[in-house]
Amino acid sequence: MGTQTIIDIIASTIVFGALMLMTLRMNTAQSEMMQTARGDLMVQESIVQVAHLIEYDFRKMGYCRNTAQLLTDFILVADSNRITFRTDVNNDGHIDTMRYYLGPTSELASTPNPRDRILYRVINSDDAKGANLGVTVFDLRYYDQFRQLMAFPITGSALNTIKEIQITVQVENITASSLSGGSFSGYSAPFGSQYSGAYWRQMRLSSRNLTKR
Amino acid sequence: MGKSALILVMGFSFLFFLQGQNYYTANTEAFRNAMSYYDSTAIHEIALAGANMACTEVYREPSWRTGFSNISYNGGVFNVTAVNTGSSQRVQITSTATLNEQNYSIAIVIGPRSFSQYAYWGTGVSGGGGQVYWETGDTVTGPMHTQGTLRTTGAPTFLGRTTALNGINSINTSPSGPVFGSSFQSGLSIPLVSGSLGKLDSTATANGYRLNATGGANLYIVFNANGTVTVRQPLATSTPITQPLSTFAPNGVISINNGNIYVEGTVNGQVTILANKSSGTVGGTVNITGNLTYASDPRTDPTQTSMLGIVAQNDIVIRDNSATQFTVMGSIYSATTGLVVQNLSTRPAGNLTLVGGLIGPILYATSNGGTGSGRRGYNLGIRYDTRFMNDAPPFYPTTGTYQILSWYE
Repeated sequence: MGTQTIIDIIASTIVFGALMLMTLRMNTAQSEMMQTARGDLMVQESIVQVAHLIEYDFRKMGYCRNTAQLLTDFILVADSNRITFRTDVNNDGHIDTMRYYLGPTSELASTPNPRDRILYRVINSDDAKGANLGVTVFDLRYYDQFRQLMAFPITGSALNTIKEIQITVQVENITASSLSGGSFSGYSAPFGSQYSGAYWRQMRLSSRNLTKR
Repeated sequence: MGKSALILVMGFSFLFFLQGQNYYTANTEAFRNAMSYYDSTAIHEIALAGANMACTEVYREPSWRTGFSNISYNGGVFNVTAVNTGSSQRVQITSTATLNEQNYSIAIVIGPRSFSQYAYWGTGVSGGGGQVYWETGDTVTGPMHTQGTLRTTGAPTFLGRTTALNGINSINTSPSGPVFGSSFQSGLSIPLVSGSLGKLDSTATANGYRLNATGGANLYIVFNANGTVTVRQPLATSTPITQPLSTFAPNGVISINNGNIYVEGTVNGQVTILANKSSGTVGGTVNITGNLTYASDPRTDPTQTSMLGIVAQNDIVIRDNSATQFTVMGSIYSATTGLVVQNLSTRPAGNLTLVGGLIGPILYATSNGGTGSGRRGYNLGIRYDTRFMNDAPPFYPTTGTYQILSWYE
């Protein structure tokens, strides 16, 4: 084995090692990117599901198949993160009461994201049901017929003056990721840099049934 | 060496392709997800456009039932049907949108807006020809319209949707002005519709009970709790006839033309009584001679289905029967005047409770305005019957416009 052969072996080992390192690094980067992309997709799907559900339910606020029923008092509770309203969920002519509210963060202490909560949707006196879709913000603002923002607390006859509801929902990835996220101004708990893939959706809904009075 | 390099290049290419494919798939799914949500929003807007267009057509022409077929809008298509449903000229409008092979429907029921939906309708004119001022302590618990200027002093409360033709004029608004529990809208004209009573009279002729009074004949009606009605005419001493309400007036309308009605009792069924005056100077007045109620109060008894409409060309008079508590359940409609309390300066002081609504151009005093032992007449309390929000006594006069009764999507 000559000197030239030894130099060739050393050189090829160095080149191969460099290539291996590049491959491994690329693989790591790609995995991370894929994880982020998949996580973003999951969060995006969650926000779409939540938005669909809210739009589906809130647009039926004050509706009853039996037109002789449900003529007043459509909204029973209106707070910044919970609402109770009357509707006809099954379109069977019977008035149902629907509640939306956000559970405490302690319920999901087992997830890496400390801010995710369960968004509950409760019909009548059924047991509270909710799924962890990574909801971190469920903010409700209420507007009267002049589109003036109504101040809390909204109680008594003031509930009947609600004509529009602005719903802001934010969903975050429930698992940690190393990529940095953005900031969501306007709310007291902006999502941090540790959790990627936060999506939010703001809807202003007005059920036509609220104006049938 | 060449072979190894080829394998190396192919291997790396395969790895890049795999990673790229995964990344592409994730991004495609995200895009598809976003598009799916966009489509659901777009299809909703398309169906909404069809529904709004159909509602506009019915508002413009109440007999419109043509519908829309395959109307292209915003990248999709909508079809709309409009059919009669139930009674009372209600229309069901169904708008179905199609976009990217997805369907979305909105179903609406609209119906004529009846005057019975108002807890109070007036012109802002009082009995003396002055202006009506709603003051602190006054509460209207249902929808209210003033075909004029709504005038307030202090802080009256209007719990239902409140509208006025010429806006609101409030005085003494410190420390607080009028309280609106639902909403206030100005510039809305909802006049009484001329010819409504003639139409109602014709309805009585068609399938109800109608008496064309001549020579000052009157109609004396006592509603019985068992669902029958006892009627005397042309005089109070005439031989009474007692029949089930459904037999006496199958469509629920009892009318006298050019005569007066005297009525009291317990209504069991749905009925509208009319004192019409198509000519001459006699008649057109409804006299309520005693309590005129349902078997139970509809505000506390959800099973109560009885409804009463009291319609007159002229006054609707609360006759002096010396009672301190007088109750009338039903929606009162006077085409030219309003509710009049007979002998309000001499009859005992008490309360007049109206469970329903009061529709009439003029708001008369119901008491002499005195206090203590000098008080005579009634305190008027109008308690809205919320069933009138979407329902009405048979063939009760309508505003000529339509309203949304339910909106399902």
